[in-house]
Amino acid sequence: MTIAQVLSAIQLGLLYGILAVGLYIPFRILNIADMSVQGTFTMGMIIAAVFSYNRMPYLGIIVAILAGAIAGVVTGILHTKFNIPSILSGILTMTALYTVNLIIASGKANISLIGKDTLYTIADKLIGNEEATKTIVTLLIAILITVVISVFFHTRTGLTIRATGDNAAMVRHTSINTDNMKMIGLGLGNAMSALSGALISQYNLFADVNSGTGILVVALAAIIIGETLFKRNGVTLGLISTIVGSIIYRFIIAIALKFDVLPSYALNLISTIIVIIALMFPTIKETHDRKAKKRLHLELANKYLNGNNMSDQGIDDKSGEKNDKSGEKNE
Amino acid sequence: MNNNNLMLRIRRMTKVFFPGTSNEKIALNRLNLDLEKGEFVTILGANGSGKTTLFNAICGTLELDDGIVILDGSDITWEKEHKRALHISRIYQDPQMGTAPSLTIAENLALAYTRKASPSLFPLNKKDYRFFHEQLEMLDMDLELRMKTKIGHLSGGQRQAVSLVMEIISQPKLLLLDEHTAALDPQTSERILDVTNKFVRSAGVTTMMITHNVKDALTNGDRTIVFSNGEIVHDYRGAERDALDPNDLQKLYG
Repeated sequence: MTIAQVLSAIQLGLLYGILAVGLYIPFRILNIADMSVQGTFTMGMIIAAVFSYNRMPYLGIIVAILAGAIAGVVTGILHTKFNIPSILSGILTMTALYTVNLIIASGKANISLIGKDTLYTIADKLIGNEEATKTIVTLLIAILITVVISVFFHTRTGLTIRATGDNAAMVRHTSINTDNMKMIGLGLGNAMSALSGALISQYNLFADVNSGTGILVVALAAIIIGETLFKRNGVTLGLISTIVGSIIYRFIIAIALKFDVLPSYALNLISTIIVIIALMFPTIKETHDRKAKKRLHLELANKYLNGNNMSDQGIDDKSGEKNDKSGEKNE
Repeated sequence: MNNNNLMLRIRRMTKVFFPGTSNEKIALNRLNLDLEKGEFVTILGANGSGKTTLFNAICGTLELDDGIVILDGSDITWEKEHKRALHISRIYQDPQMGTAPSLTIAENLALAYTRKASPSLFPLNKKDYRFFHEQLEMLDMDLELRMKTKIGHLSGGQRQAVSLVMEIISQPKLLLLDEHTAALDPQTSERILDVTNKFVRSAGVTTMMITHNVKDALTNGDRTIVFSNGEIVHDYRGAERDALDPNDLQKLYG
């Protein structure tokens, strides 16, 4: 891989990492599979593009974040106040947003920002190197987001949101309205997803109403890769591992495409296969460990069954115990 | 009796499950019950006699068909579950239910304390932390040394002990214990009961405790009521209660 390819993988990894964080909040912290993330990602893209097109790139990012938060709260209201299952609430919001996005884009399917000022082109004038700018700006934003969200989840409200995902009945029992906590979590998640979309449209100088297709699996891949490598442990580490997972995912994609294993339009298939493998991994490992343990114990059992004297010595002797312990260690 | 001395007043409390079907079950049958402030009542009764339904109705997890619930002079019959939880604490039989497993002991306590703590952005400030440490010390189970341990890593007895501290620090007006020692081994169960008594007496909180252990029911608290088919069939207190023989009461279970 060339340096340019490595940098590009890191930049995209960080940008989509913010999206993955947006899914991580409902998915892992609140235990809600939130499909509306797909719609808010595209909405962030379109809003930022429309504002950038009209020479207001910064305002575009802020409006995108707010709009994403509102959409997330709408999903939350459908789910909590009207008892619509969370998956369905997300799908409803996502589908409605498709039309909303077309309305924001004045009916056009895509917007080009070539020749327009964006966050990246403005920063580039200060730094003077395009690749360096893209890397530094994206990295700074990703770090800022991680720190802010991590601190938020250690506040009183943040703690309550985490507990809501863990044991909602218990949180209601401590006199806290879990409906509100779910809405805050969904709002925050979708705000992050919209921010990711907004940054990506300014980064690519292009926005398309269909860019959301398959994006959920991309975010899921980042979360799962992160968890497979770093285990599930706390919010702060969870956020960091999700973003690192997103960068690793980009490297896998870059390598898969480089060797022409599959054509570039096979991206969604590659993503899905990565997620499936990562999800199967713990089960495969467990089965493997169990088999290894079983083999050891079978040896022991055979020794006992085929032993010349049928006393318990065969079981109790030290070599048998050693085998038993090494078997347990494999767990 | 002076009404101001009453913490809980229940009138005509009625709940029918599956009405109009062949499975119709009257869980609570026009139940009346008064609890004085600071009273510790133990509740006996066979399965399905309405004890837990009574707790569910008081907590608001269940809507009543008829009747009213008055807590410390205010009508809470139609108040939402999380609103009345401000004044009512409950510990369940299942140690899993009262705590959030992936949060630490300190975080769980902070969550319970949220309703009474002085407002602050971060829940685990030094002052609260010291307070939690003191409370856990009173358990004498060395849990104060493990405040950063996730609740999920604790045993059932330890979790139940933490639940107890959580409910006590939230200073409820009414404490409901739903067979909270039933899932524990005899030794731990006794330990938790001791701690319960210590906490309840020092805080002077009005308490109801459901149990299937007749001896526990008579040796703890200062009043014992017996449920059958959604009604209170016996109400023992004072000398009458002291004179009861656990073996006689055991017969109520058939």
